[in-house]
Amino acid sequence: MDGAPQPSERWAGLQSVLCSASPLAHPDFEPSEETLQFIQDVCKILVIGAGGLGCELLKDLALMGFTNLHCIDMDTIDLSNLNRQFLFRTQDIGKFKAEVAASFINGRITGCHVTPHCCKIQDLGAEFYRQFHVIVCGLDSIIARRWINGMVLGLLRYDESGCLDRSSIIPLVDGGTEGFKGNARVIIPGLTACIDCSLDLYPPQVTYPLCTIASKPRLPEHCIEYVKVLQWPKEKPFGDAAIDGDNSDHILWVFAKAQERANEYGIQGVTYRLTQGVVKRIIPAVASTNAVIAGVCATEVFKIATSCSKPLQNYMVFNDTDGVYTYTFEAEKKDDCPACSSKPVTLTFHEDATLQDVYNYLCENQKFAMKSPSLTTVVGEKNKTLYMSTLASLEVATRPNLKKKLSDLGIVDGHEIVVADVTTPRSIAIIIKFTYNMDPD
Amino acid sequence: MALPTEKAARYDRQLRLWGDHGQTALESAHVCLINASATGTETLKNLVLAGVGSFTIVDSKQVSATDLGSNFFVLPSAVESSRCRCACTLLQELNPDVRGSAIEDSVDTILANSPDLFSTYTTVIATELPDATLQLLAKVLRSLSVPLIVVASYGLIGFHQKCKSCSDDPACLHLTPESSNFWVLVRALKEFVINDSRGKLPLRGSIPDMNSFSDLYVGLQKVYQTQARLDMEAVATHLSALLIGMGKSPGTVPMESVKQFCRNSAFLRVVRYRSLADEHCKPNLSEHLWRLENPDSELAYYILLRAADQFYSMYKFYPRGGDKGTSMDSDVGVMKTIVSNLLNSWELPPSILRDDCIVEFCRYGGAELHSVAAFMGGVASQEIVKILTHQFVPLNNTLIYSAMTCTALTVAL
Repeated sequence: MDGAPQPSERWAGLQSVLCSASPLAHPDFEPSEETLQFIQDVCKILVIGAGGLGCELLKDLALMGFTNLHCIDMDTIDLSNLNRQFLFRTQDIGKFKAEVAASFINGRITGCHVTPHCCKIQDLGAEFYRQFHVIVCGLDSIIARRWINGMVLGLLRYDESGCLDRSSIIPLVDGGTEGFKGNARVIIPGLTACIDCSLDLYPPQVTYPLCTIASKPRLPEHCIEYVKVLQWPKEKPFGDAAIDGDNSDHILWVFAKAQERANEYGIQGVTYRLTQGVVKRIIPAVASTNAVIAGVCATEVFKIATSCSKPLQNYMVFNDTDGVYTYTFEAEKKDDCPACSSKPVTLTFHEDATLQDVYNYLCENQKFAMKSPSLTTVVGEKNKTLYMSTLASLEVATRPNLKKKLSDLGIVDGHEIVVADVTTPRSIAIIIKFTYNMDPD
Repeated sequence: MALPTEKAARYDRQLRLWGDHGQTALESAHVCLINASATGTETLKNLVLAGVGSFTIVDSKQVSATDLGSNFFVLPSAVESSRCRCACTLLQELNPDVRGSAIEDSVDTILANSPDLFSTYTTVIATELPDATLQLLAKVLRSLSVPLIVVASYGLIGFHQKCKSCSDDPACLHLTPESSNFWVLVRALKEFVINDSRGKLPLRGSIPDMNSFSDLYVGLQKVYQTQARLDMEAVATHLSALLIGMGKSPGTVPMESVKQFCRNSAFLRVVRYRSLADEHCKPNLSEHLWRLENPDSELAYYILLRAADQFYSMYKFYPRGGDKGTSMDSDVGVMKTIVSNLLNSWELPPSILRDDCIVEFCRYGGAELHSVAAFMGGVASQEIVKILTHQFVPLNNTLIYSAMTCTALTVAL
């Protein structure tokens, strides 16, 4: 006995599950010692995010036997991360999260290799994402979620008869937390509900009406928002610098001005903490919720990779404010979802509708919820840029088109328009149909 | 004005949830973890990150090869040396504000020789304890009024239970010098409601946001705030009289506490827990039996965990967790017998548990799976934060998590 722990002893817990049959296992499950080998030697998992959820996910996956992990995060470490992002220490403040997280896990868990990518998810392409067996997300932005959702959908392959090639499916496990609340979901692209199918599950972002901010404040938040949105651009206290929520001088200025305004109206409650919270739209966060949600996600990755048990079907919510509340349900795949339904969506507009009407619809309609779409089409066999929102020079050049009627731009009934937006890596095709004497959809 | 301190910056995201007063309560707590198992260290990790004042780990075991496959707070270099010392060092690294210590001893020894040690802890977390030891520990902690949190991971199943004694009488009529501030406040509240406000609780003082002109809204708010202050002062007057009557100084309860208490008087909850002994002897299963009709029921695994305890006390290993000698069939057979006897002893129908669950359960070999331990660590640590900060509502009293269905059942057993 040379004292070095035997590999089989180390993973005895996993092997116990993977080598025993059970009537409650997944119908596809076959007990085998090779499953653990697959997880360790072949399986590649991508963790998106190295923050509150990301740190937990990396730890959990490493200790569930996965050795080939990649991690993407563009952020650097901040002091306020340290109450939950436990792979980081005070001396790491300012360094890239993905790098420090990878280094810590590689040092702590023998045999595990995490490859960090300190960049935006949008900086990597299909060739990168294609290599993974499962992608698991610990993101804090809906736009980013929709983007990766679009990416995995774009990797799907269909044969000539329109049948889905199952080997092109990369399951997506997605987790989110906010204070004591959290949720986890499993998405099998092409088969189950995708992120866009259930956009209505995400609560709308907090906004304050401008008239309240400008002239009828009631809450300390209104006073702070006033300074942020109206007073700062007018007084330019730090030259042309935009407001930086992490710059304490900026926050101190906003705090002082907000307090002045609050005093004018007799409003109490403006504090430094509240000021920073409003300016940065801070979401409270604590280690325990992240541990719970990441635990669920990591278990799902393990189940998907090994078939040892049936996966979550397909959405779980969690809340431990009052006791512990969990609820699991199946989000439905919508067959008219712009992201995952394979047929182009048909939109109906009045015959006199303008391009602006189409643009507004794409932004305001909950199904699309786009941020700043660009639209192109083909007219008379020639490519035509209708409106390009992202390139400043082209934006100016194509802006006049927004006011023009669709018919004047060469768009006829049944015409296809291709739409691109930050919410998806692939373009979406929409078909325009005209009606007469009716309001648009 | 002074910028927030480095500590306030570090804890900013959680201060927005439980406030400075909650954080202060956390920082004055001393938590004891028994056994640095994966589930135990995952629970403690979240408390250390949150800034708990101090912790102690009691564990007589050494780091084993199996620990390396489930526990984040052990190192290969520590195999065959003290598990609690290794875990203590690695946990302490997470937060320089927290003081950690390790006691390399078995709980049985401490219970036999120096049970009063446990009176120095604010809460005790117990993992990996055989049933007999757990029962003894629970009895001692109950007599010391120290809350006991039991947490465990077993394959794809997680388990959490709370045992907390409320030594005070439900009727806050009988206040004694030992009565906690909480009950004196409740009594003062009662006096206020009966004598001063014609049955109404003290005003909270805040009003919901609504569309309005600024001066009207602020004016209305001030009316509520003024009355809330008057109500609070009336409660404080009763409180002073009560404290003086008990032979204590009126300053025993700080004004800030009175203010918090009155503001939250509409949301006060008292949660009473059964003793572990009562629950073990006769768990309140009969009212929950209908759940077992669902093949995925988490409750089945509560029964199986209790059966596993007995299996362990007989064989010193869990079903399929011993050396390769025991077969699945024989272990399942033994478990079936134990389950049957257990259900009989609880006066429940002996065949309500499906065989499928028993086979699935035996699959786990009694091992901890890290992702399940991490989930349970999250749940248990937040339950402890609730107890320490006296905020939010703790669950009563048992939680069973199934990672198969991603569901957690809470039952009062």
